[in-house]
Amino acid sequence: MRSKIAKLSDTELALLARDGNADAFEEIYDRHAPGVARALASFAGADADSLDDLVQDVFFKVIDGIASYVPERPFPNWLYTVALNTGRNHVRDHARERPVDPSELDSMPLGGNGSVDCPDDIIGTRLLRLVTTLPEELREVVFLRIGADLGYGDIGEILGIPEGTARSRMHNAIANLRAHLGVANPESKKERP
Amino acid sequence: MNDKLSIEDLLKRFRRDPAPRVKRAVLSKYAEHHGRRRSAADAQRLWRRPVPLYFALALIVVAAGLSFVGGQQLSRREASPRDTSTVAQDTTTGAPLKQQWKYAPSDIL
Repeated sequence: MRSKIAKLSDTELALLARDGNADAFEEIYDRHAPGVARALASFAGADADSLDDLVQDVFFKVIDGIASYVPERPFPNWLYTVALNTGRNHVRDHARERPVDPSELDSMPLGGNGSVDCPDDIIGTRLLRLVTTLPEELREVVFLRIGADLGYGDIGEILGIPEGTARSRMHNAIANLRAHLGVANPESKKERP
Repeated sequence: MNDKLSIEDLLKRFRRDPAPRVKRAVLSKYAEHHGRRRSAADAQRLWRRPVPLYFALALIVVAAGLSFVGGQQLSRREASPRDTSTVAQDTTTGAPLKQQWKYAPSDIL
């Protein structure tokens, strides 16, 4: 049963889960929970407990709201809209907390040609902490881009902005991160839309 | 690992699978939520089941039929009321008088 379920598309799974198919819902969770956690890390940092709570919150909302899901909208767009709103609420609720100081990330080993050496997952963790310091409009594009690897068209649809704007914001976010890290960006002309 | 990665790729490589307790909590909530919905739906289905509807319709038809038949009987009775006048009796014996023709058949044209 699960092997058949695993072959279904996100939308097919969502419709089954909407009608009470627990296997389909479990497959949705297995497929998307890591991406949702990664995306939420751009709002909450990579602290495991915080991420667990947020992921749980997102999927609880999915359960409450899946009855209203319509297949005309791609399921990942719907799911990540729920996740995005959860992330926004988290930021609002924790607005008074001390922001991350980018100097905390000074020990990150970096290459000098616009790329980053990646010895282990720690760099990603530190980088995500830095993403939490980005302006909201940039952070939200990073959230959707790294969470579900959504295309810029889908990101624009979720955020209500043109595709080109989404692309440009991602470019600015990466440039911003590079500036924080003190990394030159020789590919900036190539990356520009 | 010493691969060179872009910042975007590096961010996408970050992986933190939620703890198993999260999955248990989520699946448990899903089961509870849909269990509630299912029982509510079952209750609705029971209410909407066609049997009570057909039963009610049959009852209405039977009631209408009975009332129609009863009405017809009543109107028939009104149209030909039973003759309750006293039967003429022989004053001496008290026996009912036989029907007598007032006219002989020859008197009738």
